[in-house]
Amino acid sequence: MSKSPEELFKEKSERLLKVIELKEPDRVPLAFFSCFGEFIAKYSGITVDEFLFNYDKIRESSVKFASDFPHDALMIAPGAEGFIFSVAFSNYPEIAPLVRFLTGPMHDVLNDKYTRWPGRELPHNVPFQFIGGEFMSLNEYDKLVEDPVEFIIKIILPRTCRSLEKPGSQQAMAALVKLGIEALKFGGFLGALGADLAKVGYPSLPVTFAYCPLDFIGDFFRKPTGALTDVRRFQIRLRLHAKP
Amino acid sequence: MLEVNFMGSVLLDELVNAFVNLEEDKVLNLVERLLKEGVDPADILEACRRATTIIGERFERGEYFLSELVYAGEIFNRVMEAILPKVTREVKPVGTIVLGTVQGDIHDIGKNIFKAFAEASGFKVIDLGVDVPPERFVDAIREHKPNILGMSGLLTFAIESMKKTVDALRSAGLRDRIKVIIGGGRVDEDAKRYVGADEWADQATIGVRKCKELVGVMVQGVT
Repeated sequence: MSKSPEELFKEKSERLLKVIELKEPDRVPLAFFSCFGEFIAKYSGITVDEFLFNYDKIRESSVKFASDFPHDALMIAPGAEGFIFSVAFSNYPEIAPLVRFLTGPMHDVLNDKYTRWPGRELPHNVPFQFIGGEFMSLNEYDKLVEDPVEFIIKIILPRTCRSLEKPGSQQAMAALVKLGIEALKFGGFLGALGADLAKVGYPSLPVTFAYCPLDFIGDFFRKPTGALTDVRRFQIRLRLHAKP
Repeated sequence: MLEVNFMGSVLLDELVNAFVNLEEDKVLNLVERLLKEGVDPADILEACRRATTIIGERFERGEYFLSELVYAGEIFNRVMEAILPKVTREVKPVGTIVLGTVQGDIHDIGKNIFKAFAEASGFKVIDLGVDVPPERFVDAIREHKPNILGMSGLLTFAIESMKKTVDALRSAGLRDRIKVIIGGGRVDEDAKRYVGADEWADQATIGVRKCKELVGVMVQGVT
């Protein structure tokens, strides 16, 4: 390859932009999305848990992967669904996006029951798992609908995060501060990874994630099968306001 | 006696309709009445089989969705709870299936739907749960001597575990004694070949049909 990283960056950006604008690109762009990092970790000779719990290693191994396997965009999101935390902080728009995904280090801080991680609850070389669970009873739907943020903070998070078990306790306060520190580190990491990849000619692909109310109920409150059968069996009206 | 039989058969038809329409309370009431009428639990099971076959067809036609299959599975499980204590004579199963979500994967919605529908079709199912390592499958096969091993998984990663499990069966000298079917959103003809399975299915209802074929049960056409 004789093209400079700047030329590659420009070429890939234009290719991706053309597709986004529904125009015809020179060729179909190829983008990789990885949240487990299995292949990238293996290729770089590290374990999956090293990848998921060490931001420096993610940066190194991702740059190696991007350099050795030329493509157009590499998206690394080393975290599980954490939308409930964004909702918990939804009145604080400067915080909510930082806790949109639950990373390995955040799992260490919160000790949540939603997820299991390699090198923690799982062997070293396997993907993390989103387990979910039934954390809300049927007769609590009304409370959830009435004030989702209050209900999540006061009732659900103490049930689902062992570190937040006793709201207002030293342990819970410390966990929230640590969560903030981890969230900032994660934000800094994403920026640094973007810069690393730009240096080897990769643009960042602008993406966003939306969530459906029934998925939200299924993942964080009632298990997916619970949410599905609640709708039928108990004629639950999912009146959640889908406001961002 | 004739009246009872006639009454029973009317109620059984009603049961099929209520089940197909997923009217859970009505289904359970009807099952209770049928048992009081002295109807053989095997006939109630047969009605469930008819109902789940129709539900499966509605799913394949796009009239029912995943939530209806999940709900049908739950209704079936509740019917089973109600009739099991009344079963007096052993009904010979059409076949036995050892079932599980393979090692490294924890997705079980598809597996559970398959299980309910397979049981409704007369199979005995031994469910090993999720994240099942190859050696547990091997042990279960030695213990239960099933006709079929059913392995489920959603992650791409699961295909490797399925292959490892089949390899373990081979090493244990058990591969030729049973049929192997794999199921899940990532399986296809290539995955089947790679894993060394006999069949694959990406829908629970198709999986049940293929299991019937594997044990040589005539697949009945139901309107």
